[in-house]
Amino acid sequence: MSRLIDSFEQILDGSGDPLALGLLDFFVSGSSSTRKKTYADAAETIENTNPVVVGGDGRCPNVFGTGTYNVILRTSAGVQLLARDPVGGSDSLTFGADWVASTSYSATDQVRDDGNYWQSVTNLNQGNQPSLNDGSNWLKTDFLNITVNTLAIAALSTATTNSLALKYDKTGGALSGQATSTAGDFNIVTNTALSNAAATLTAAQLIGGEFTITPTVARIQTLDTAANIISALAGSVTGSNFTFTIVNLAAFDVTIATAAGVTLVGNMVVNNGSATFRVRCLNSSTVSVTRVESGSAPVDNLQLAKAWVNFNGTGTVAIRSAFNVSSITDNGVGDYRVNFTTAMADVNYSVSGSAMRASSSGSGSAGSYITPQGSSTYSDSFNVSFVKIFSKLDNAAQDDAISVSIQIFGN
Amino acid sequence: MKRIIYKNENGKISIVVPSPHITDYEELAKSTVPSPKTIWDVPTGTFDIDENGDQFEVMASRVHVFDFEIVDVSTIPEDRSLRNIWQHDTTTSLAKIGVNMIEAKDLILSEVRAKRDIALKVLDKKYAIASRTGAETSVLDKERAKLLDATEALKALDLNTDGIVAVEEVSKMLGVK
Repeated sequence: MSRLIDSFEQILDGSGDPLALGLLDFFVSGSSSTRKKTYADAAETIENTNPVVVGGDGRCPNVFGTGTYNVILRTSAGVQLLARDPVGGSDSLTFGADWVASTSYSATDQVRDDGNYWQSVTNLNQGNQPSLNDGSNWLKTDFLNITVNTLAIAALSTATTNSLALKYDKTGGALSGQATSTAGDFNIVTNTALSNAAATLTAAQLIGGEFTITPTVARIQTLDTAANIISALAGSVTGSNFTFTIVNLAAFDVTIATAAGVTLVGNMVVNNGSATFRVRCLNSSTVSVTRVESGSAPVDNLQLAKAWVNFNGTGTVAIRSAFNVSSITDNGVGDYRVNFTTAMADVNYSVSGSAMRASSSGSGSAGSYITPQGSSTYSDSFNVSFVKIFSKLDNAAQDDAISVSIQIFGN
Repeated sequence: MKRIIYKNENGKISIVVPSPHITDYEELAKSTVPSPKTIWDVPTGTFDIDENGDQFEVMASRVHVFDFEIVDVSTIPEDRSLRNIWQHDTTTSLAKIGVNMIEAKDLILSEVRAKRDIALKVLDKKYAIASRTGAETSVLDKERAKLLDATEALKALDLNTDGIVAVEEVSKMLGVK
């Protein structure tokens, strides 16, 4: 419904005086004989007289109605002064029509303003420009594009105010998957935070979609059995499938392990990154789990520097920038130790580096280089917690370099 | 900004330089300052023969504790010319780094000698050329004499104080700066 006549504006006669006790006849739009009801309240429970009698000051009482009207204005003596057709509420609007300041909109009316679509959340919503509104009268309407070929997506009856459940049906089968959310968010994927331990990924969790883990050592996550997965899918049919993702936030392997009726295909190890796996129903008792990664191969953790540092070895020795380096230890001229924040997994790592001379004067030529050392001597293995390095001139004399850069690769 | 300093097993000073994001220096010290270590370097006066037939002195062990101190970076000298003989001066309440005068003198003398050796080799080539051409060598003789006397001034310095002196002071006395 909408307000049909402005209650505050005075209706005037031909002399400009208020049309006291004037009459307003309401007919179906296009007709001057078929009367149409109006109401004194927005809920349309209190029916007005027809004609509606204008007040002594020329102001109209509350007149609400639905749809469009043919309205005829007459004097108290019944002399016709004006006729207007159509006069109507917002339900006469085309969906998404441009917002008009003089129109009184009802709740759920849709208009367009400032390039966006808006839905009225109040009745008698007039003069409140949607794009400038604080949300008390209008809410912006966002459209969700869903492109499907063979799947039909529909809201289930289980949807509530704060959650939305989707089900997709496959012709010839009863494959279903539900996604739920809370607090108004819509999440297709439900994240399950795994503890730093070996565990079984249950069928319900797998269908939920995503796991996050921060292992401190290599961990094995075992899949649920094919029977449980198929059971959780409520009657999966051959070929139906879903995906789940493992997000590993540390540099230790997380390995997906098989279970009864599950066939693993491809690399099942996730290290310091994420990987997505597709679970496909092969028949009524077995499923396959395949690693699905499109595009280029993921960056292997071993390709990334585990630690690096750039520091000034002259004057006030100071670290300029670093990763996984808590500190350096200055043991003398050109003699340093790089201390790792997180220790390396083993001693078989690789060290590279360079040193830039502070000056071309002094002994030795311009070249400078870095020699790493084991725990105590050159013949020792590297230490997992630090690496000793020396910056040297090309005559092997140790030298304080103005810029020492060290990079560590390995496990 | 702070630094963690400790005496290493060689009796010299090690300085831990934290990454910019480090604020808990006590915690950093736990992971960077070495744990107490047994070192076999105490002379016993007892001698033995090694597998090559050479005589060697049997050494006794000691436990070296790496006591550390967290100091302000401003207490670390910027002049690193004597860095290899820096010592932790614990004689004052303020953490300070100094050097032993005798060690400093020996270090500078060895550096002067090393530079002199290079200069003398260059001079030798000039002598050889003069010898072939019959040129006058008196200028070269004076230059050689000057080089040979280069260490005399340092030797003459009365720097036999067996104590730790501030780096800046020693550097000035030895003409390092």
